[in-house]
Amino acid sequence: MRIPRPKILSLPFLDDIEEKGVVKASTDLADDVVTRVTSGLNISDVRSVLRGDVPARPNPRLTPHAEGFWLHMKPSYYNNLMDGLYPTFRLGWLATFFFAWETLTGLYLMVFYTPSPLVAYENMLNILSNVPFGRWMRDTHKLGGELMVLVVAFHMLRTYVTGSYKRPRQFTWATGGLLLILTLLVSFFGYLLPWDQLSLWAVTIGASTAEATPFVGREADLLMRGGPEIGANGLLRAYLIHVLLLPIMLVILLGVHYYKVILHGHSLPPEAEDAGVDTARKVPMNVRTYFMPKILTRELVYVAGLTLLLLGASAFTFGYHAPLEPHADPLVTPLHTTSPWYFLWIQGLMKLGDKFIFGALIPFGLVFGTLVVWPYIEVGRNRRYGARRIGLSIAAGSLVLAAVLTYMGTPWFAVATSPDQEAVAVLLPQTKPGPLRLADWEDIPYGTFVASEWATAPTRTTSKLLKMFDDALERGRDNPIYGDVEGFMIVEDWQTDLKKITLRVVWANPETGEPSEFSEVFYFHRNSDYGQGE
Amino acid sequence: MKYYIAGGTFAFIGAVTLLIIMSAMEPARMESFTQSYESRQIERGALIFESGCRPCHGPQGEGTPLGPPLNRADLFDGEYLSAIGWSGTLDDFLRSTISAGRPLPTEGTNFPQRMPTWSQAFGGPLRPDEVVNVAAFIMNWGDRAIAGVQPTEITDDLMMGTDIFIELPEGDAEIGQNLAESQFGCAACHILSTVGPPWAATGGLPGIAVRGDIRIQQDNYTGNATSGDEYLIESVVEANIHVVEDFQPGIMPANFSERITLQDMAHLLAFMKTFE
Repeated sequence: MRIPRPKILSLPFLDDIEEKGVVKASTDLADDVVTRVTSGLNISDVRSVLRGDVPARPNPRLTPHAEGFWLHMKPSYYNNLMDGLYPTFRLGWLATFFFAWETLTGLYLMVFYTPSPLVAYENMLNILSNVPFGRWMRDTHKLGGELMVLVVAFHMLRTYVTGSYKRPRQFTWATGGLLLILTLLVSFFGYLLPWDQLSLWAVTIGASTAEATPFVGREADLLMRGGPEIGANGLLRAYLIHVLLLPIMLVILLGVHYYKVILHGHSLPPEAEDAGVDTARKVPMNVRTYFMPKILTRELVYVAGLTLLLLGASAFTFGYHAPLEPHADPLVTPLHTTSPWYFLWIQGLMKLGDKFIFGALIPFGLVFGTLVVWPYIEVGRNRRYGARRIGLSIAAGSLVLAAVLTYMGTPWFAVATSPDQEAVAVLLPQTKPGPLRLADWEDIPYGTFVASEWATAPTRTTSKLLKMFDDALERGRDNPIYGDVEGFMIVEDWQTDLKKITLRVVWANPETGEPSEFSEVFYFHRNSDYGQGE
Repeated sequence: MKYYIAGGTFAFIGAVTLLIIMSAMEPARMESFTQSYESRQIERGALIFESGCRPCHGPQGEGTPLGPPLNRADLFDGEYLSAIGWSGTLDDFLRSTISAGRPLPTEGTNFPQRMPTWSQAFGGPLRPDEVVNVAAFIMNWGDRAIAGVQPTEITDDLMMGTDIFIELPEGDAEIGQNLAESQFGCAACHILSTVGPPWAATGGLPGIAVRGDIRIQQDNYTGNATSGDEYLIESVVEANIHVVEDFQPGIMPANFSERITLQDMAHLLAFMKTFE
C-alpha cells in the first residue's frame, strides 16, 4: 500500500508528471497556458484558426469574444455585406490603428523630451542629431497624427453619407463627433511642443481666438496658456493636455464608441435592407463572416502593411519629414504664418469679421455643436440615398464651403503684404527652407547680381535664383507705388565657408520720386545642408 | 485569403528589412545632421552678430574704438586666454563673455564702455541657444584671424580732468580728426550717425564751431561754460552736466576726463572748430 507523502510544497505540475509522464504533463501545461492567454482557445484551436479549418460546433472561436478583454470589444462575426471595402472603407479601424501608432511613437519621443521653453527646441535638435531612429519616430508621429485627423474626418463623412448615424446609432454618432473634436485638439496641442516658430504662431492664433470669447474667454485663455503670453507654463500645460488629458478622454470615448458598435452591430449598406428598418443586430447564420480567422488575419495584414508604409514614408531623405522651423520667438512673426491645415477653414472664417463670432461661435458652437447632435435633429428613419436628398445636399454644400474657407484661410487670400517683402520671401521663405537655402553653395559666386539680368548671370544656380526673384518682382511692378523696382543679390565672402547674401529690393515712388528699399541678409554656410528632413 | 497572408508576410519582412537598413544608416544620418546643425549655428550667429555686436566690434570683428577686435590671431592661438588667466576653452570663454559681459576692462586697454551682459540669464536679450550661436560664429574666424591687438594706450601725459577753464596747448585739427575717428570714437555717434547731436550744421542749427556760443545763452543751459570753446570742452569731459534737448543723459561715455590728455583735447577742439 502507498502511503501518501506529507506535502511540504504543493506543486501540481510535479504530481502531473508523476501521474502522466513528462511529455504529456508538459503538453497539457502548454495547452493550459495558451488557453488562458487566448481566453478560451487551446493549441489545436489556434492551429485550426491558422489553417483556416471549418470550426467545430459549438464554435470554440467565440469564447475569446465572450471571456477575453480585448476581443470583447470586437464582434465575433460580421455580416457578409460588411466584408468588402464598401460601405466602411475600414476607416473606423484605421482611426484606431493611428491612435495606437501615435501612442507608441509618442512614448518613444516622450523619453527624449522635456516640456520647458529652455530646452524643448534643443530636444528636437537632439532627437534629430543624436537619437537613433529619432527623426523617424518624429516624422511618423507627425505623419500619423495628420493622417488620423484625415481618417477620422472621412470616417464621419462616410457614416453621414450611408446614413449610419440614424436610429438606433444616434449616440454612437455623438461619441464619434466628440472623438473628432478630441482628435483635432490633441493634434493641435501637439503642435506647440517642438517650440519652434511654427508651434508658437499656430498656437498663438488658436489661443487668441479662445480669448475673444465673452465672459469666460480671458479666463479660459489664461488657464490654458498659464499667463498672458505662451511661456513655460503654457508649454507644460499643452504637453500635459497632449500626453495625458486628451488621450485619457480619447480612450474612454473610444471604449464607449466601440461598445455601441458591438451593441447595435455594424450598420448595413442602406440598399441592403428595407427602408426605415435596421436589421444589423441579428445576422442570419448563412451570411456570417467570423472574426476568426478571416477578419483577424486581414487586420494583422493591415497592421503589417501600414507599418511598412508609414515607416517607408519617412525612412529616407526624399520622404515625408516633420518640419522644424527656427526657435520660437514671440517678437518675430513669420511671414505667411498659418494655423494647422485642418483649422485653416476657421482662419478663413475669421477673415470675415469678429474674432469671437467667426473664430469661436460659428466653428465650435454652430458647426461642431450641430455635428454632434445632428442625429437628434434629423430624425427621418429612411437611410436610402434617394430619400435623403436634402441631407446629402447639405453635406456636399458644407464640403464645398469648407474647401472655400480653407482657401480663404491661406495667406493667398486677403492678407496685405508688400510686394518687396513677398519677392524676398520667394527666395528666402520664413516657414520652410526655400530655393536659396536649398541652392548649391559652391554654385553661387561672389559679386553683385541684378535680378532682371538673370539671363547673363555667371552660373546656372544664380541665374535660376535671379529669375525667380525677378518673376516675383514682376508681380510687384503692377503696383503703382513701385516705380523702377529692381532686385539685387549681393554675395560676399564673410568667413571660412560662410557667404553673406543680401537680397535687396529698391524702388522709387513714381509721383514723389522718393527712393525706398527693403533688404534681408542671409548667411549661408557650406555645410548647412538644408532639406535633409527638418 | 492566401494572397492576404502572402502580402502580410511580405509587408512584415519588408518592415523588418527596412528597420535593419535604417539601423545601418542611422549613425551616418545623425552625423550629417549634427554637421549641418553646427553650420546653421554659425549662420544664425552671424545674423545676431550683425545686429548686436557689429556696432562695437566692427562688421568683420576687426574692432572699433568702442570695442576690441575679435577676429585676431592671439585669441585663437591661446595667447590671449593665458594672458588673462582663463583656464577653460576658448568656446567657454566666448560664451561666458557674451553671456555675462565684462565688468572690468582688460589690462592695458581703455575702451569707453564695458561689454554688456547679453544672456537673458544676466538681464540681456539673448536666449541660451543664441549665445551658443554667436560663439560658434566667432569661433569660425579661427583660421582667418587677421587683426592684431590694438589697445588704446594709456600715456603718462597730463590728463584733462574736468577743469574746463584750463589753458590748452596748440592743437592740430588733422590729428584731432584722427582721434575723433579712431581712438575716441566720437565720429560714430556725432558724424556718421545721430546718436549724439551732429557736429555738422543741420537744418536751422550751425555747426558746433559756433553752436556753443548759442547754447550758453539759452535759459535751460545747466553748465558752467562762459565761451563757445569752454562749452565744447565741457561737453567732452563733463558730458552729463548739460544734455541737449531731445537726447538722453548717460549715452555719452562719462569717463573722457580720465582718458583724454590736455594735448589730445586741444587737437580734438581744433577739429571740432572746423564744423562751422
